[in-house]
Order: sequence, then C-alpha cells, then structure tokens
Amino acid sequence: MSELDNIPNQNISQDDLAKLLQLLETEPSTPLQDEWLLKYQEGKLKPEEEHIIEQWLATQTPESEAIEGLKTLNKGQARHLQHNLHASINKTIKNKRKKRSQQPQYITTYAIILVLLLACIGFIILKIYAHK
Amino acid sequence: MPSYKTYQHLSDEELIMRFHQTADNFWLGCLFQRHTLLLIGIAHKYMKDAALAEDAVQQVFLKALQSFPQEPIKNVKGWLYILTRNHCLQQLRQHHPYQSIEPLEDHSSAEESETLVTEANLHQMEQALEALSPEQRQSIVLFYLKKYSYEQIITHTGYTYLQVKSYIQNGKRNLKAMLQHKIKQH
Repeated sequence: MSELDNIPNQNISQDDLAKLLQLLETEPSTPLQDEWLLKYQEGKLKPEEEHIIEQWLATQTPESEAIEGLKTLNKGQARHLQHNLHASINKTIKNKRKKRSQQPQYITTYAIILVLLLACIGFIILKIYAHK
Repeated sequence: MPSYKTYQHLSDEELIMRFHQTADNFWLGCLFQRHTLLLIGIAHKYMKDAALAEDAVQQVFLKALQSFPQEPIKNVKGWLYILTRNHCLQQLRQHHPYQSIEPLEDHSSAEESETLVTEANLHQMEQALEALSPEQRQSIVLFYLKKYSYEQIITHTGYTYLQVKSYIQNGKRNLKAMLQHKIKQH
C-alpha cells in the first residue's frame, strides 16, 4: 500500500480543492497537435507531455473519442494510416481538378465548330440568294 | 499541388469560405487533411479495425466532397465527427444487424453542469470528493493534482488503462453531478 492509496480528503489542501474545482469547469487549454498525438500513439512522449494529451480523454469531446481510438491502434499505425489517407485525398482532388480543367476545353471546341458551321450555312444561304 | 500545411494559418471557416468562393475542392482537401488523424481515431474507436477505419474516413471524405453543405457550419470539427460516427454506426448496423450498438454519448449535458459547478464552495467540493469510490478518488487526485500520466497511474496502482480512463471520466462526471445536486439543495 502506498501513501496515495485510498487518499483521505484530509490530505488534500484547500488550495488543491480549489484547483480541482477549477479543473472541473475548464476544458484543456492546449489544443491537440497532430505530431503530439502521433508521438503519444507511438509511446514517444514524456509523462508530463502524455498528461497534457490525456487531459482531453476526460472531456466529452470528439478529441476524447479520437485519442481512445488511436490508443488501440498498433504503435506507428496511425502515422501510416494518416499518410495513406493524405495521399488518397490528394489523388482524388487532383483527378477532380483534371476533369474540371478538361471540361471547358470541350465546350470551347464545340462552340468553335458550331460557329464555323453556322458561318458556312450563312455563306451558302447568301450565295443561293445572290444567284437568284 | 501545395501541401495542406501551407495553409495552416487559415481557420476552418476561411478554408470553407475559399471553397465556396472558388468551387475548388483543393480547399476541402486541406480542411479534411487537417482533421484526418482525429477522424482515424474516431473511426477506429467504432470499427475496431485499422483497414475498416481507413476505409470509413475515405468514404466520409468522398461523401463530404459530393454534398458539402451550402449553409455555414458553426463547428467544423464537430460536423466531421458526427459524419464519421454516423458512417461507422451505419456500417456496423449493415454488417452486424443483430448486434446491439452501444448508445451514443451525449455531449450536450456537460454545459449545464459546468454553469452550476462554478457556484460550489470548497466544503461542498470536499464532501463530493469524499463520496467518490476510493478508486475514482485516487485516480482523480493522481491525475489532476499530482499530474501523473495514465501510464504512471497504471504503474502506481496496478489498474488497467481502461480502468484508469473510466475512473477518471466517471469520477469527474460524478463530482460534477454531486456538486450540481448540492448547489440545488442549498
């Protein structure tokens, strides 16, 4: 049994009670950064840095569920998945942009052909009227 | 194509504004890449499989790309979270129709208790802490006052990771509920 087991309240100072009351009200002040989360998932953070990430675990936020989910992945797997998804998103965006940039070219080509066709028809009609 | 990190100085709302102004999916890509890790974690929490989680996040991105709302989104992270969670739950229901899926956590209740907790005094706090189970009280004190990490608490107490997580989460919730109750009684 250690001194901290079954901690009685008389060991907790008024200052600590006030601190705890304050902590109950506030969300963690440090935003989650990807690199920190990845290092946490890989077990590469110092205990005091882990503590900062874990403050989010006790909240009712998407971050809490995300940390929980990341923690159950194999070490290093989160970085791998993130890399794959970023590559896949870039590819999707590139393809969509390509399609979009090709679209106006078709429209321009069709418009030129149509104008030329109308000009030819007009020219033929004029010729016919001129002969009459 | 520039990396999403190039535009890290822009807020989520600014990225969406640029998307609406230019109709260029690049901005949605930036927005999504910025939150990918968070979504992987959420998807893995529900799917419990790395490949399925990756697939879920990819599908959510394609869905968002196809039908991105025209009206302003107040909380982009929250919106992406709901999209991902709902997609995962839908997948789970399709593949395991007879398995009961645990109810969703209510994230809205926190606000109500927070406003009330501010009115509590130290004596009420002391009483509420005393009323917690020894495990919850110990985990709360080690985590919030001694600033121990979960690993340090595990080493110190012999609890598992899930136990520590549950003692801290439930302990915090119970403290809030008890304080709220005491304030109402007062």
